[in-house]
Amino acid sequence: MNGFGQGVRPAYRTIQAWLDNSDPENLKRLQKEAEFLFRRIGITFAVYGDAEAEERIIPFDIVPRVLTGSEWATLSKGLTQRVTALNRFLADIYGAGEIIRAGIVPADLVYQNSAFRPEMVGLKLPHDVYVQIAGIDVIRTDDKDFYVLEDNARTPSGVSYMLENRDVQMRLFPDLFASRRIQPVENYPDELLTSLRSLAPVSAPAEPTVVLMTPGPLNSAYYEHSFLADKLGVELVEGRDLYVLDEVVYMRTTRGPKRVDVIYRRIDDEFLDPMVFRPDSMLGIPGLISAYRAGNVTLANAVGTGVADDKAIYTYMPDIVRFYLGEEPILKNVPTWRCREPDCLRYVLDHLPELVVKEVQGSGGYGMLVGPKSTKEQIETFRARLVADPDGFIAQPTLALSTSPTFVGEGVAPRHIDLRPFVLTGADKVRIVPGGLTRVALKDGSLVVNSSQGGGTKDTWIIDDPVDDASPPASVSQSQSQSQGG
Amino acid sequence: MRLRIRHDIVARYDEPVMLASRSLHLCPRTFDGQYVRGWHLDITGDCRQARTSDAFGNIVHDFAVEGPLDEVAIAAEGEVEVDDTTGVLQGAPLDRIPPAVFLRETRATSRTSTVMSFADKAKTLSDGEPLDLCHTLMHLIYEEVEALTADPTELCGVREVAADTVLAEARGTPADLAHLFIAAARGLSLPARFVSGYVWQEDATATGALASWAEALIPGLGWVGFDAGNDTCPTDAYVRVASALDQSGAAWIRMADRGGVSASVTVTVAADRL
Repeated sequence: MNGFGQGVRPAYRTIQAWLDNSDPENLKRLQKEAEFLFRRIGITFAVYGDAEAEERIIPFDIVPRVLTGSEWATLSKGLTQRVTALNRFLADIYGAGEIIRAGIVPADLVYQNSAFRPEMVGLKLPHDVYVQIAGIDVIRTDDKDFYVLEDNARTPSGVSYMLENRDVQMRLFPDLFASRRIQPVENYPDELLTSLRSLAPVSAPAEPTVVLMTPGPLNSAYYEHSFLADKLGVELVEGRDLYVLDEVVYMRTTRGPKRVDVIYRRIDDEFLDPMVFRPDSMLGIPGLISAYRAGNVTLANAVGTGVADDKAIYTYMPDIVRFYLGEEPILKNVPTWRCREPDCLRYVLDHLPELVVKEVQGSGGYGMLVGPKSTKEQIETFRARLVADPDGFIAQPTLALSTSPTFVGEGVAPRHIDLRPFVLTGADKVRIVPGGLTRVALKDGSLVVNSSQGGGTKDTWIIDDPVDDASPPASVSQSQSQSQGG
Repeated sequence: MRLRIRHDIVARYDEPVMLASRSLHLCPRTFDGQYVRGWHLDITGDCRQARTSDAFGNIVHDFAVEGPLDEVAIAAEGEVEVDDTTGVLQGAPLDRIPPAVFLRETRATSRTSTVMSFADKAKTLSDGEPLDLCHTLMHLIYEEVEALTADPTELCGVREVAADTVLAEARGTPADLAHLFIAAARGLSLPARFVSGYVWQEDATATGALASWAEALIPGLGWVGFDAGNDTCPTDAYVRVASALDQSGAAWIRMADRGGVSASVTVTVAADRL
């Protein structure tokens, strides 16, 4: 918030004023109320590998994270560019493979990647869109640039928190919203539905039927699945509710079979069709891939998109953007050492205590080493894993992630944050609702924002640029009077 | 050699099946050295057979039959003429999959340290050239791993025993042996893939005409077949039906049922020389 040591950034003046005027006891009370609201809504998630806590709520912080309109404009331009390139990359590797032939991305990283699905080779998708829904995790280390931390191109989750956080924030602090123009996020479900429908198969009727497919209530993101289906106004289905006859997907309904044209699936590739992928999958739809191959159903996201969000492929993203779009990437990549390259491996092994080392195919903050936060023993254990399988890891510097004021027990303190905006690609255009999911590391000094590792979330505001943007940083009293006047 | 093949797969249910879904690789295709002179598929029940090509270039028939049915019977029958090409697959490639994909590990072709030391042994025994290496590897498997007959899992579904289990137990079905060959060849950086098909043998058993083998990509020659269970490269007695990363992608049949209790599946195959 303090603009990296230069006083309160314009975007945060309202927040500063609000915090200065608020009684800490009152804030504490509202924080409790927020928790109560989340419990009542029932927004929970399950933590894998934690038998005791079946269902938790993700802590919500009442202090919003704020970006100005011009910051958002740059970010959203960069996201559009990045996701456009991701889609072009996927169409290429499942088609002619130009980028591999051009020597830009190594063949083995693509073709030997377990997320690369040979079944997709030569398959034509509507408008060549593979990643209809992307969650791109971005961070800042200064007030100029956004860095992409991860591209989530399989089944990114978290959008329900973006919507619920806004809802709760508005209920608790209606005054804050009255005094500021904060760009809305509530239209996300409409944008998603429009986007999904635009990519229905050509054989679909004018009003295509969209469904949301979940692996079931045992999945950690089940709450989100049912929440989104409700908001979208589409059926929430499991594999057993659907079947395939003559290469067309049908849904069982009380009024007989109904053709399904678009499946927003929140289930992994491996489990989609027991006749093509894992034969023991009880979650999928037998024959789904035959309907997909025949062009009678759209899957969102497409099969085999995981190869694009692989952390090893990530390191090539700037080149991927340049190759397909002929533009310089707007969003930067975090400098990354590819441990598969011997020189990099040597460097990484020599600098483990300073680095963050991640599994190429890991997610959710599992299986990673945060050097500065690890004991000697942990580092040595990790070193052994790294030496045994260098191809499986990448390393990054420990970044000075930007912080945002966060309400923590005793008062307001800076905590590290990241942001996951949701990028929708349709037949006509890319849509991004202004905002996203801000995750915050609640522990002092912690850099891990994953909800499975003690992270929380915040509402994310995109506000109009303050008119006096160019003037020197305002003093606290100034911003207070502004806020009171507005 | 001119062969007539008949392949029957009959599933019987104690309690009727409501929806029987099937995906079949039961039709060979024509290419240089293999001429399909007529082939048809009969399926009991009311369904539309959708014949398509999968990404591996195989002919696939996908269909579902609505019940209630006590039995779902599939019969594939036809005539094929095959030339002896000493195992070398001729003509244009059948698929558009980049060869590098066939270096990948799958559940059945995991590249463990035991598989790798087996592969290295073959390498040491050979002259180091890819063709001799593959012949040596095939022979080594034939010598060290006892060949069993095909298991029901591979006759009417997916066989996914890991290559290193096959090695540890020193015996395996035709699919197991092919997987071991594939895992070892890939471990030595040779693209390799799984092939399912038919073979004519004298005095074959009821399912003895079913064949599983491996193909490796030999520089200068192209894809070459290796049948480790019989220690031979495919001859004009072999009919090639489907290829994939492993058996799961080239299975003769994959099925999924809704309803239908305790299905017994009977498979019979006959290959006659004409």
